[in-house]
Amino acid sequence: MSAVQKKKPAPRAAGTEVLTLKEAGAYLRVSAGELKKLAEAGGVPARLVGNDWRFLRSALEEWLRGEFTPWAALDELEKTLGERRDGKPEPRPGTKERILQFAGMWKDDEKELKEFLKEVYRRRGRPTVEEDG
Amino acid sequence: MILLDTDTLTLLLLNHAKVRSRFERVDANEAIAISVVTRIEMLRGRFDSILKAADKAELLWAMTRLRQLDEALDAFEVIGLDEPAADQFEKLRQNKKLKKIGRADLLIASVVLATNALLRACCRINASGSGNR
Repeated sequence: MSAVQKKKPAPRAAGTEVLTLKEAGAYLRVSAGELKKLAEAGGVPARLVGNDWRFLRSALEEWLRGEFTPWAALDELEKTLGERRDGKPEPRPGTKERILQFAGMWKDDEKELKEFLKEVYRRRGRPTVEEDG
Repeated sequence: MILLDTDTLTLLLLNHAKVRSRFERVDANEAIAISVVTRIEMLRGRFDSILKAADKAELLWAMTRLRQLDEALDAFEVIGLDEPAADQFEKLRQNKKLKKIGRADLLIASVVLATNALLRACCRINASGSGNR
């Protein structure tokens, strides 16, 4: 065996190979620039690895068939279903814990919100309500 | 289930001391909801701010507030007007003693009766339609 081993080529299983921007553009028959814009907008399945875009041929095929869910939508879904930054699960909607996250959200807008309440109760046809305990 | 009326929700967003303290005493397992009427009233307030925005800064501020409200409202279960609530509404509407009560209050009352919820408002309305505490 020689001292310098010949680098084995990356496996190229059909349908699963990773494509560069140029290769993916050629595969889709669009310019690399056009594809880059689409990738940046989250309109095509792609991942930014460092500074380079990479594409999975099978994902591009799914996208062409109309089975693709944009990454942005998946990220949003993960955010909704996933964990908070502190690692704790997000409290369910309709629970005291979840709602208390918003208590005081507008604490600096007292004047505006009291005007808002006055308008709401004017529309309801009864006097504005002053808070009690 | 506890249904928060628009005034209570607004005061919670303001971090009103008594409302917050009362809210914190709610059982952690209790479902907290708002009616679709409250959702509409809250959003209408934000839309009004957008429509009244005098300049770019006010418009962007109003949009920020709308986004914040959207997030806060998502923390609640929102109870709509389904068939049982609509039946309750019909009954209340035909009650001559309730003639002076506005539609929004009647709709909320219908939701409360249909779901057997406990209404948390800073004001309760009596049969003559005037507010009391």
